[in-house]
Amino acid sequence: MKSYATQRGNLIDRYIAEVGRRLPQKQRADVQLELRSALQDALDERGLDADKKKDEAKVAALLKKWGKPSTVAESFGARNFLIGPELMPYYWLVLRFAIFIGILVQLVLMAVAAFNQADFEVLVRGTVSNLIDGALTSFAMVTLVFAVLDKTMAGELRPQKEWDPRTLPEPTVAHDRIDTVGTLIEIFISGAFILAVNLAPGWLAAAPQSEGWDLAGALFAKFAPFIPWLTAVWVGQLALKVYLLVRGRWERWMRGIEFVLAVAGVVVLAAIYKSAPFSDVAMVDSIVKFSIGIAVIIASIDAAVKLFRILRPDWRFPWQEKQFEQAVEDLGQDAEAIGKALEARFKKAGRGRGR
Amino acid sequence: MHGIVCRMVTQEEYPALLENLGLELRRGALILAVLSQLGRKQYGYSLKQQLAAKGLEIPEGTLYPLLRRLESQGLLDSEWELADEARPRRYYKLSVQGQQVLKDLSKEWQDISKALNALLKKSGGTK
Repeated sequence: MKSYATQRGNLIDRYIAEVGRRLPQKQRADVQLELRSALQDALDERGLDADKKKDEAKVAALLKKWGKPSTVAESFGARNFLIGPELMPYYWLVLRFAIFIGILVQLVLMAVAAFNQADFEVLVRGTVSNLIDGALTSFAMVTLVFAVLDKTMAGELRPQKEWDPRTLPEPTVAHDRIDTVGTLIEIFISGAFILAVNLAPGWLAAAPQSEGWDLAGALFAKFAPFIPWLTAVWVGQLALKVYLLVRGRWERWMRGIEFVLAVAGVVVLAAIYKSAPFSDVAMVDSIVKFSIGIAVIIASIDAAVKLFRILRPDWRFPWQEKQFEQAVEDLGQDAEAIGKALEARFKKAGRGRGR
Repeated sequence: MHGIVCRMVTQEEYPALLENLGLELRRGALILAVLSQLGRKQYGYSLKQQLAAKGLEIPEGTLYPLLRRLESQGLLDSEWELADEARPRRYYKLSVQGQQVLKDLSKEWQDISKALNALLKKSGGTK
């Protein structure tokens, strides 16, 4: 039998991931692990290997006998929650979409207000407050609608046609998951920044002026030709984040686009660096040049890390590995990670309690 | 005015009806069956095999949630153990409370069984 840590992407993994997606996070890891152990016993008994193509039909038949992921999740208690296992995946999709629309509306309103030359500080404060209100309202409305749907229509919403385990989607592994809240914050900050740079660039160059130097104005004039290029890169990154939020997980091609955008960012920054001198005052020129140089280096390292992540998606620093094992019980969704964490725990203790 | 509502189950509906009634009938009995086999620790799949060998088939989709429910009710204790080739398995065993419940439920079962046998005998449901 293969190690738990190396199993990934076969029918069993996809099945376990789908059951997990429908379970509350609190019990997800524990149920998934027991399910994996039980399914592996069933495979062993039949002499099947889930990784072998020739066994796929028999593994699919076994899973069919166990039942649809939503039914299994329900039998493990998912039905006792506000939104049941059939609707849970759709609930998350709609919730993300509703929050994204809320942000978009706020950004558009902010842009309109900026066009009307509203006070920038008042504008930002108002937008943040509206955004929080909007997010909470979207959350409450979507949850309420889905809770009502679940109580009234869950039975009818169950697919009636025959279920085929081979249609199960690939599981989302740990490094492909997204941090929804973090991504939302990034989208909002990036969106506000893009609008600010393009619609009210004056505030960006609000450096203190001393002894009559028109430092801010001179610097801004130097940077202005690059703003459309920077904006193009930022808008690309923003669009990718929005799509990521709606999609709910990273995919390889998205990592590729992320890398291309990062390289484009480095190129623009390098072009700005090359456009030196930035000031007639030698010290000011040195400081600005040094700052942009540092930005080019950081952006280059960031692009290199992104490329490395595409080439070696499973790689982690040793200290991340330890944190990762610790976090597995909470995250739970990744069968591979759960197996790894348990193996590590058992290797250390020889034997231990499940919870 | 009074009316009598009479709904006949169609031939197509009958198997599903019988299955549901059978499931209801078995539900309580399964708890007792599971408890009876957990005097020594067992993991889910070995328990399923043991019950099947004694003539009681329990679908996995029923057994594993049942084990968890019994554990959450304090009737079973569980622990993870690492089996051969690094496979973690969850072993279940009767708790002290579970032993008492098994004893009391077994007596209850004997009484129900005796009464039901007598009832079915009278109604002609059994020979």
